[in-house]
Amino acid sequence: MLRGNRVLVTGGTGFVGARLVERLAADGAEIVLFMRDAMTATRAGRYAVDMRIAELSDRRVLTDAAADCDLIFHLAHDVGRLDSADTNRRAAELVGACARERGVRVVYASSAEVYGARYFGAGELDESAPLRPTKNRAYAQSKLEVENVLLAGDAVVVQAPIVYGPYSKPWVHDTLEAMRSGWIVVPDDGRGSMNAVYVDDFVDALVAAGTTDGIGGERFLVSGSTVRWSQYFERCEQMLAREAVTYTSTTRDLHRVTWAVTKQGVRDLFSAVADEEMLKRAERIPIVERGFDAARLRLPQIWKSLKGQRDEVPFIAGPPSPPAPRTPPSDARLHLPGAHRRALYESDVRIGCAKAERILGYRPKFSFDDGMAIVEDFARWANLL
Amino acid sequence: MTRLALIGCGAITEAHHLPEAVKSARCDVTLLVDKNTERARDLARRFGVPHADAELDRVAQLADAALVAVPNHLHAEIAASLLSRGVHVLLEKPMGLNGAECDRIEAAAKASGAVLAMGHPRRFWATTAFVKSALDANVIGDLVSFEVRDGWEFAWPLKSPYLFQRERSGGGCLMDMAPHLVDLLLHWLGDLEVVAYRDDAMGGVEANCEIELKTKTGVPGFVEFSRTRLLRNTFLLRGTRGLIEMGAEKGNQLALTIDGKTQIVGKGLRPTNRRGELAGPEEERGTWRLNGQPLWTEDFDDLMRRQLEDFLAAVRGEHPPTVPGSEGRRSVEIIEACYAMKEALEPPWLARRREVERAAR
Repeated sequence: MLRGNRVLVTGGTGFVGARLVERLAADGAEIVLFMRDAMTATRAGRYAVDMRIAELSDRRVLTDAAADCDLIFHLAHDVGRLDSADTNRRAAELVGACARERGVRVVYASSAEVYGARYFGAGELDESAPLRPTKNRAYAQSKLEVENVLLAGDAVVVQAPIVYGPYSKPWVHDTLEAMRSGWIVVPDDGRGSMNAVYVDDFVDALVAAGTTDGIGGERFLVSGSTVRWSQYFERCEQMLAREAVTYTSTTRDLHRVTWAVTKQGVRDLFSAVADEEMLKRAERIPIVERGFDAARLRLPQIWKSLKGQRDEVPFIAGPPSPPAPRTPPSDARLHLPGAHRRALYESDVRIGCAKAERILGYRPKFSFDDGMAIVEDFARWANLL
Repeated sequence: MTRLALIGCGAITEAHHLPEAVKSARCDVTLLVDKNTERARDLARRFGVPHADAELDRVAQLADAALVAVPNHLHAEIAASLLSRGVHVLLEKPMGLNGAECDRIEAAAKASGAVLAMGHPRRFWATTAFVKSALDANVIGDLVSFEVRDGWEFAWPLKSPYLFQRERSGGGCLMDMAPHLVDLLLHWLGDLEVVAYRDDAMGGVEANCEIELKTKTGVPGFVEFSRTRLLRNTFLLRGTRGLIEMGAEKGNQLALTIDGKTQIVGKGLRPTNRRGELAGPEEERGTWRLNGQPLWTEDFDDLMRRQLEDFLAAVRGEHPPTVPGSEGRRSVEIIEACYAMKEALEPPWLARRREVERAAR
């Protein structure tokens, strides 16, 4: 379908971008990559692609890269810097201007997080939900801003929840690394819903958005499977052949664990700056001693106190009972969820893809079991297990 | 005092060659050359080098010797040009993109009599010499098989995408790593023949590759390189009496097993962490000993320094370079043979993906 077309991909060296490049190359497209850093081009560099390196705001290089292109996939997204939102907005304006000038479409890979509370809430979610990113979530706000800039032209936006597959940093590398180095603490007994799309299915949706006529200005929300978080973590434990996830039932449990871990952190920090003698002297101070003892004693109790049932989530195929309580060893490193992860773990949402199915012909090919089986093969090959 | 020019101002020059060269008491860095004159001038200013040019015209006038660290496709042209003008050359690996380019460089060196040394820093590890001695002394018995695996998620601070452009780099991880690691196999084991070669390039440069090799006496070997995943990063040489395992990324990793008993040198082979760094307390690095003497604690800069000093000594006529051009070409010939017999390499996880795709159709 794209054979012979010249396609510009920004962010083509990332997790989704590199898979998109593989797909476009297989389809016979001529690919131009616009990227900020050559170092990350290992996967995309396996193909005969035209690489252009510049900052996202570099008008000259971007305009030059877009020359003669028939389609633009905009995946680049700056995060974690004070001016990231400005950079992303300016890049979107430039990409939009290049597309208008050439009269070509931009496909923008966005996130379900633009729906904010609805995404982190409960029930069905589709494109009709209000676009209200969580206030303190700069990533989602910036994503929505870019959507709005691009949709002023002939752009198509494809939003996804969690995208996973081989080379996914947060959902493969980081999870397995955290489980190898300690235990992951998951709230809500792991009963929250994980809306996950296998990377190839997301790429299919992006390509369909680039090649379907008459859909300029539209947003599409796509997903793959909805499973419980406990299913994802149990699958990861299965890969590693060890238990490395522990669940809390109530917010109070989670707070207790967080507090105990914080205390341990303070102790670690103290021991890093003080010598052993100082530490021992400090521990002899009754109040400090009591504090440490309380933290040490309470941890196992918290695990043992796991209880509480949530209402059954009917649309998730998964084990109806909460996972068996596990007690990490007392010296285990615990990975606590931050506010964003906690919101994800506690959400009860299920994403509907009816619009994408109807208009883009979107049909995810990879079930959760398929996707995770591939991830396991990949993880073994990549020596992550 | 040898006057030294550095040709090419990329990441390796900024991070290693230039800092070591300006520290050396045996050379004066007189000139930096790079097409990107702004970068050459910037480095010259930062490191106190008096001249910075875009072209090679003044090299013979301002320097006696040159360290050439330019994109691979320019090695032959620039090295031959300098050598023919009588400038001694320390040339970054690979020597050239193919045997013909190596011939051109060697011919220029022979004609002018200038020194040609290759930038193969792992040759300067003490472990490299130890393994050579152990194999020559038949310590592990007759060689049964040999392996080297080297891989990590690529993180070299590139200043340009040239490493991913086949016409400029000549190839991917094979072209990058074989001159370092297959070079050591050639040094230890003599000539090798390529039996099979597989990589995952699809018109660009490979991120993963595998080579099956054999020695002249038919001993089989296996080489695996990756830019997408962490591998064990060691050499493994198995003999009838035992085995030697040596770090491929760190010079102070070595384990020797004879008759089922591990005879550890220093603290033996130390596992690396997931970032490829030596695991374990920092202070243990300096405690390795051989014959009561502290064993090597070298890092990459030590190797670069030793390589540069070796070259400068060769320029002064004290001894031939440790790695002359004739050695540099051996790994290039292996690379050339590999690319000529390339088959597709498919990671095992793709088979399952294809099954799902087939079922969906």
